[in-house]
Amino acid sequence: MKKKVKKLIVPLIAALLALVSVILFFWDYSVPVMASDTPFSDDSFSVPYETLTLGPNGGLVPTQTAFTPSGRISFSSSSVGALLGPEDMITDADSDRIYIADTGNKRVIVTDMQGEVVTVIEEGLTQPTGLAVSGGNLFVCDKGNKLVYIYDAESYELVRTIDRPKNPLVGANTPYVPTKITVDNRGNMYVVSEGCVSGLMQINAEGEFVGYVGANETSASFISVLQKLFFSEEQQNAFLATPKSPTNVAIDGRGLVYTVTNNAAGNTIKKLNTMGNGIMSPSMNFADTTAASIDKSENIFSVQSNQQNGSYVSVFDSEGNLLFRFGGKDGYERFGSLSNPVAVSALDDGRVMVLDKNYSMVVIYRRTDFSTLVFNAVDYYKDGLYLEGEDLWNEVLRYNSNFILAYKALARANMQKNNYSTALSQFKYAEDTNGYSEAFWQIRNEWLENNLLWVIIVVLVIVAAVIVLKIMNKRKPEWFAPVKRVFGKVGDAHVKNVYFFKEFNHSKRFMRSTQDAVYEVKYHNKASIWTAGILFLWFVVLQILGVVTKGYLFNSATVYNTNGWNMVLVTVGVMLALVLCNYFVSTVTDGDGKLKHCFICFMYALSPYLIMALPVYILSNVLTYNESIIYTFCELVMYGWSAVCLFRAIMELHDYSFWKTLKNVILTVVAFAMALLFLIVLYMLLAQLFGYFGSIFGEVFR
Amino acid sequence: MIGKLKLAVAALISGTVIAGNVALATTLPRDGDEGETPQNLYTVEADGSSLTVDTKTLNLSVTRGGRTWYSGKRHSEDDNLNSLWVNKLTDAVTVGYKVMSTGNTRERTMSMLNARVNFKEREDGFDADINCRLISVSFKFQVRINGNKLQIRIPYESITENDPEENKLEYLVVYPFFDSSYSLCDGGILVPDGSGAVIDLSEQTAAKQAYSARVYGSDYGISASQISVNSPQTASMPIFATMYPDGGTMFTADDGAEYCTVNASVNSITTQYNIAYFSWIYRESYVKYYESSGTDGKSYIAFQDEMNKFDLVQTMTLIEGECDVSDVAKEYRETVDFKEGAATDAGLRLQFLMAENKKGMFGNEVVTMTKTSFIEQVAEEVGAYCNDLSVSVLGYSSGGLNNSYPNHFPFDGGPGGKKGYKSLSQKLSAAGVKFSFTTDYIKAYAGASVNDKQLALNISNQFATLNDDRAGSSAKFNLLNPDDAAARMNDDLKTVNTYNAGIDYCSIGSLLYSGYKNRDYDRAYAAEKFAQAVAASGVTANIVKPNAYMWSVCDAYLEAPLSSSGFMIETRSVPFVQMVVSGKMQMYSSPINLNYTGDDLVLRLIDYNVYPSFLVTQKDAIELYGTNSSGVFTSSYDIWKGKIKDIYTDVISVLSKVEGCQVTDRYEAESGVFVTEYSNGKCVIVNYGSTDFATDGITVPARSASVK
Repeated sequence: MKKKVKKLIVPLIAALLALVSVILFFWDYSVPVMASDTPFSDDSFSVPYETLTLGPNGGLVPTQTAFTPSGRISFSSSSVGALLGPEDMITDADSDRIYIADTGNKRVIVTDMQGEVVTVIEEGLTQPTGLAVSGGNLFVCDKGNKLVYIYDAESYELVRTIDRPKNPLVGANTPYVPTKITVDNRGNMYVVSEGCVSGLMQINAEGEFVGYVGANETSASFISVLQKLFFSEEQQNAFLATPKSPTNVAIDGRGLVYTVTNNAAGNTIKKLNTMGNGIMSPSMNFADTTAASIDKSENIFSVQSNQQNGSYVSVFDSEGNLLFRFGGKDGYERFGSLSNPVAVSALDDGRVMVLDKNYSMVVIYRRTDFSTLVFNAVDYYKDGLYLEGEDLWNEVLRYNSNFILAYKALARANMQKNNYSTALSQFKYAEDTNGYSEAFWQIRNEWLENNLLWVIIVVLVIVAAVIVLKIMNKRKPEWFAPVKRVFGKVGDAHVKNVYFFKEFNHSKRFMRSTQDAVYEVKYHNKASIWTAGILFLWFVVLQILGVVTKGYLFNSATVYNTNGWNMVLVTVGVMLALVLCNYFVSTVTDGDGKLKHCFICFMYALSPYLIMALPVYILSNVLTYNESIIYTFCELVMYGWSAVCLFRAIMELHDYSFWKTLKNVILTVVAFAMALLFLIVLYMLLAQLFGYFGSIFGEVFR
Repeated sequence: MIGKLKLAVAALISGTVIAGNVALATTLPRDGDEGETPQNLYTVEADGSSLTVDTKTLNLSVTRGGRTWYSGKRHSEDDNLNSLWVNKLTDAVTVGYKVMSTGNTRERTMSMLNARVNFKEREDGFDADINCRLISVSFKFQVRINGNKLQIRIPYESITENDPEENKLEYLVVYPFFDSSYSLCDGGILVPDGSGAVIDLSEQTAAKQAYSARVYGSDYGISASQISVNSPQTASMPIFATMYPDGGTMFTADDGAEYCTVNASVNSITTQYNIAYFSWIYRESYVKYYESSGTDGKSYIAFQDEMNKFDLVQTMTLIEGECDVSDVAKEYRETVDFKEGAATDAGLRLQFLMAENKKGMFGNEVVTMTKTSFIEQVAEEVGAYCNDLSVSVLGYSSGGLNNSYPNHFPFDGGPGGKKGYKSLSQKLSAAGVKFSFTTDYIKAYAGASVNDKQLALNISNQFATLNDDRAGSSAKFNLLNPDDAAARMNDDLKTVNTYNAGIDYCSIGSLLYSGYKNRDYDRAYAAEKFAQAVAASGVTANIVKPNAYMWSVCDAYLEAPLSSSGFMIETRSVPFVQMVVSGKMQMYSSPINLNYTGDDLVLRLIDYNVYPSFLVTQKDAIELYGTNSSGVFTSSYDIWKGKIKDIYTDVISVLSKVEGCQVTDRYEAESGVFVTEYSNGKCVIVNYGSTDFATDGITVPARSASVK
């Protein structure tokens, strides 16, 4: 019975391969057709920056200009005089006011939306750095006085001040230096206190301290883990990693608070839930973020200030997908470029105001029709109205074929319309593997529903045909004589005994009884270096095939980001180095194996991988994430089996005990690492040598 | 008087000015101050102009038509200038020099350098031998007056440095305060930034930086450079102007333009004066690597040893009466040569990207974007509504665009090969469509096959390079020697002629560099060589962003600027280039599809008299992702064909009425409404505003254009 099952495996695999081929052949990889013709415009005649968006492979790609500079507010020629080191700015659409913390001049300037000065607040202020408006009050953080001032937003009279909270949670060593503030509709204040690592201070409308929210976390590094293992408590305290203190704060229309932590390793911007816990961070983290503002659609507008790499405005949707990023290092004083942006405000009419500390002015940007189109489409996407936003996203793609979010949204729309094959290709462009898996599952399901009967029939027919042919071959071998003549009598006993086939057959022995197989290699020459060489070649080819044939969901590499020659060189180099290292290690640790046998056994020990890899790669093309366990299991089997074979091969080859083999393996790895180090040093020295002679050659002969 | 005494004291305290020079500075007249009459005056009359010069400081004034132009006149309210600036106002020449012992650059006027002036009178001006004794630098200073033109010349041969080990000449500035004004006043300064820009002197500037731009861009033989997105535009003309209600001055660099910088500063940036001037560069600092490969990054700042060889020739053209940009354009047009017989019809340009290459696992693979047969179909389709279509192909070389330049032929087989292009050229020719190959003969992709001997070496003995740092691109270029570039152009001519095609030249019209070591040449030589090579080709030459010296060999101006760089010091962009070039050659825009601005852009094209151009492909632009052309994010002709027709139709409906005509005047009729008058008497009115504009019986609706 077992034999019959075994005989059925080959035709079954063949049938499976045929099925895969059919699926691949009829696959629809076509790009969706883009339609409609909505005009749009912008005013980018002299925009001093490039606008980028999220493109394929997680990279940033250029796109149409999203925002153009449309105005500036500078007080250099006004009666109040120029700003000096301003630190914050907020806008209030209800009262049509802009508030600017003119920190260096110890005042807050209030203007209308056109920049005409309404009043200047100076009472009590020494170093105003943070502003908020809510419930008819203007809140000003004064870093110098360590107070929060609350003014009436109409009369600009001082109402009261908020001093250091008197609460046990605010310890004597906890700094209270209010620098930024936001206030929700209920009058709760969220205060950024410089150096306070516990998060934002939440103070209610009555001025009572409620607690801390939005504290950052520390990340465990390798060194910190070691410190925890080996240091005493005292020593650990000395090296205690403290989380970064938030540096700015913003609030959206629903009253959800966002923290900004400049130079944080991750999650520079963090959206907090009502409990004060982080629930979302943008997909791309820009460490040099200084401020953020949330518009009415909950899109996140942030500014980054970096003297070396340039200053940017980055815009994310409410899910944290990067929509636009513009700015950059300019080095020139140009209209629209930024030097040191410290505050940003997204207005309801689509304009964005950015306060630049170095330029001492507010730069105003307006949306182009292209970005308006994108924002409108994002509104639909955010609400799950994929079909309603389909036309808009198609329009977006007309003007930028690389706009990844558009593919994602269109794929969702096509999923709703049951256009799974179109959705599949769009998910692929969008690099949304979960969506791709979902669409593929649907396609496969549909295909199986329509063709399962035929699949079973074809498989049964093939199996029956093979059985019949086998029986006929036994009973009437003369009927098959001409076929055998043509195909070289494959399967006959004497063919199996042909040199190469015989040696390749030895793989089976390695997989079942490695130690016996090694013994036969050592003492009966059951495998030659030539066949091992061919196996080695197949191993190298498999690395390439891994890139080319693996299913999209299980393949992290593509032909465009893989250098084939490098891959071949590295594979060959590493394998040969491991064989050599193992041989050299064994020679000094009483190993019996010869170099030739080392090579042969290494290659043969990889037989499980060499045999299973290609079928597994092909199988991965018909699997979704729902069945990823199958793929993972197959991989585990082939790698695990190969590892076990290799270990046992080394053990038998050098005639080691288990522990000695383990020691040999470890030493081999160490020797390999040392060899690698040596090669790197050698390479550097040679590079310097050639560089030196190259320089001389260049000086003389150029 | 007290102010003058203060200045004298300040100068003495500073220790940098010798007593005699302070006395010279104090003789400077002020506005409204009849004051002391300078000693040693010489006056010469010529063609209606009267030139008066102080023979010691060479401070001069020219009177013509009732207006007097001063080379430096102190304002009555100004008491804040330090001694350097006071002397700059007075003295003819300001010298920048490197003190070799400290490595610092120092700026002093000729008086401050204890200059001995040997004045010689002439009937048409004067000559002066100036010996700056403090730094042992001397030169001849020649001034000629001829009608409304005042010309200054400092011959290269006359410049001598007697102690170059201690002080080396770095730059010269001549009459930096000529026709300057003080504080807020009516008037403006025109600078050659992009299409041109005006600095309005009646508005308080928020800028902290003055305007400074090297004419014809940086010297890539001295400094490495990068192609940045939206980097400031090049000053493509050696000109600037001061404009006032009662007159103005156009400043041009007639010789040595390759080595000068245009500078402009207005009230509150450096001083309260509004000034504009050329600074003439004789030497520059540069980064010198210890190793020629520069791989180890070890370097030091070195200083050019040899002086740049050029005659400083600066002309001030005195413009009488109310002076605006169109007056300056008219004057400047008189000084420029244009190619005879260049087409001026209102046209449409379609540039097709044929093929690119992409990294594969084992080498590059070619991505064919457009087939030649597709262009034939497009030409037929567009020909139905466009009488003057220009088709240009890009990326036609074997292997596609990237890594091809400076090699252009043979063709890549993907788009159609030799046969395809032959058929294309024949069909286009039969349909009356202009056909050209886009080329770049001076930029060599770092991966292209080029003999190292053909590559330019910079002053640090490295290959002169340009890096493309735009998102999605990692292209690196080396620059070719002008002679080798010219030889390659000549070699390709036979092929180009076979296809009855013209050539679109990239880079050659806008990049200028000097070469060093065994391929020694300067920027002036490179400019001359490029112009000669293009002229010698004999085929239609369309040039991308051509500098002024290429206009005489140019049939069409490609990628015409539609604005200035937007420096904060600038108040507004003006179509100065277009006003000069109008009626002399066609001007085409940059690819509109990559910078589409809808109505605004169409209006700007009409306002600036620029015809539309598009970069299109047969396939969708997503195919270009992962190539060095991934910046081309939308290009499918099928997507853009409707828009191409609409934009062309809109633009042509107005500009066809003024094709071949020169701009005679341009003014802002009301906020956001610009009127451009042409030599055929027609007026193009562009209304950028949001309300209708009515004039002389016609109404121009908001955000539209009309011709009267």
